[in-house]
Amino acid sequence: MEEILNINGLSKKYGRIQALNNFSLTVKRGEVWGILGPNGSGKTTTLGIILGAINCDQGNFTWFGQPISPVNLKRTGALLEHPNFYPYLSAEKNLELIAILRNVDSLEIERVLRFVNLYERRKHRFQTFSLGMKQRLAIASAMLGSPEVLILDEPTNGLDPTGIAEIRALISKLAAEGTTIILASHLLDEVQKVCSHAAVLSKGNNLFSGNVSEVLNQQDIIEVASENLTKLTEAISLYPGFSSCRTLPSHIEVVFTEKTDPALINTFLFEQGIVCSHLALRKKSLEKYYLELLNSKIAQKVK
Amino acid sequence: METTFKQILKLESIKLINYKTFVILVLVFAAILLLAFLSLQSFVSNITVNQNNSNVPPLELFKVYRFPDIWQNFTYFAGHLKIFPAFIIIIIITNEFTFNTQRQLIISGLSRNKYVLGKISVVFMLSALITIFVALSALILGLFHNTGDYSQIFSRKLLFIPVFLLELFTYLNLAALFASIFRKTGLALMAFLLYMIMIERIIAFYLPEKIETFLPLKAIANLIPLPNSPLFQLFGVSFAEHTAVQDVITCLVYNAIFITAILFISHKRNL
Repeated sequence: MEEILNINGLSKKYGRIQALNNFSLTVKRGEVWGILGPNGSGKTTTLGIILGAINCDQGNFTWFGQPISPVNLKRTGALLEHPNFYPYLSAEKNLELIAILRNVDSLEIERVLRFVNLYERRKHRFQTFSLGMKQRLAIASAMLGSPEVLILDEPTNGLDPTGIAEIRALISKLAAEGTTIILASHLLDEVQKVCSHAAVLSKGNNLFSGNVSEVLNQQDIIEVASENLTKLTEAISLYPGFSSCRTLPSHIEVVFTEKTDPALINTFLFEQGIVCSHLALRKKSLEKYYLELLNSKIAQKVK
Repeated sequence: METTFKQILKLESIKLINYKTFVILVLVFAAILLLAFLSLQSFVSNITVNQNNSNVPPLELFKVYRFPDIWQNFTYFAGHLKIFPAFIIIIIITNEFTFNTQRQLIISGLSRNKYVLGKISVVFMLSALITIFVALSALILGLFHNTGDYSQIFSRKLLFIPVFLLELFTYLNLAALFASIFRKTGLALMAFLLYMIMIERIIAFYLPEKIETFLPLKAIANLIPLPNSPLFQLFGVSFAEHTAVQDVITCLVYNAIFITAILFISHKRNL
């Protein structure tokens, strides 16, 4: 598939702080990338560099196979950090500025304003907006002219639960239409729900990058409960492929070295004379993987 | 598609026309200029009257509204108020940093060069607007006080109008440079004032007089010489009647330096 963005060995220092260290990434058309990492891990620095707002110290990157230029930036729509608009201008006027700059038809302004539910407030000045509304206007601005690539830095920041759900639905919809999306977030749940790929950053170092579903399919967790948890633990430890087990007040969590079928486990336990009151297969969450990754040896070495 | 100059002008005009602070400041400045021009004669005459109280022989009245001297009188006088538009320029430029809108425009596909071009265009247009206002005020007040000799309107002194434009443009570009360096409105204003009131004077103090005239504010101030009034003539002092080519060249060079410096800063800086 066509390469949209190719990042090659980017590094950036702010004084003595290494904000980004030899970061590489390739984004192909139609992929939805989540860039994960704690606050200050280099997410915004990365996005700032690829958008031409921040000068990098080392490395290079290409957009659509070409070096960065205002012309190819017009093919991308971006929301970087906070929503930045002229506070004294109305929502509509603020979008008009971007529309003029990007040669976008002014009819587009109405479309994107309706999309983010700000059409009724279009005549109001930006400074009268709540944080959530500002964020929605920034998303509308990035969407102006339906760019091929969307770059969203913490897009759900400051939004209420309904707003968050709307933005997620929007991202999924745009992704389904084939828009390439790069999303920076520290909300893992968000990335897990919408992204096909993820890169994990910690202190400027890339700890992982790859396919999200591959990561999540590696290991499954089985939740089991019965009347006697001690007996249950003893029994299940005999099951082939058993790896580890954690006892919780209401149930136990079992990890197996290979893929397992809950039905087989149920039969196995029943044969041992144990009746399950609860049995569930849980996918390992990205959050768990992420926390493991940050605490892993790679991350320790980085520190 | 590359951004055209027309698009840049459209962006800047939307930003300014809808910015109440800007519109009010421009109107206030126009009012100040107009009031100053209207009271200029009585102001100058007062000084002359005071002089008459001592034992000096009576002086010929200094007619400020007389063609062609009015071109020089008005531009010279208005030049003393140019700190006001400089404040406006500093506010406009530092706003873009404060609101972080410069970054938004650049990541949306405006090149840094074209961003700077937009700002220099604003500097030029504000300079041009003020020049036109001063020229029209001079023409109208001059005609109003004219005693019948219209041939004096078009004299070499009319050249003070384009020279005034150069004076404003250079001065406002210096203000734009301060705004680009300091980024915060208050800080840039203070630094600019400090440079005006103290720093350049201190530098001038340590420089030989020949080089001193090449300092930016000095060169800008030298463009339009002090009008020769009968009072000065009495003391045997006479100032140049016209702008020196050397000062024009110095100012043009300064404009090139200021704009290059603004471009350089804009490219170096992380937004």
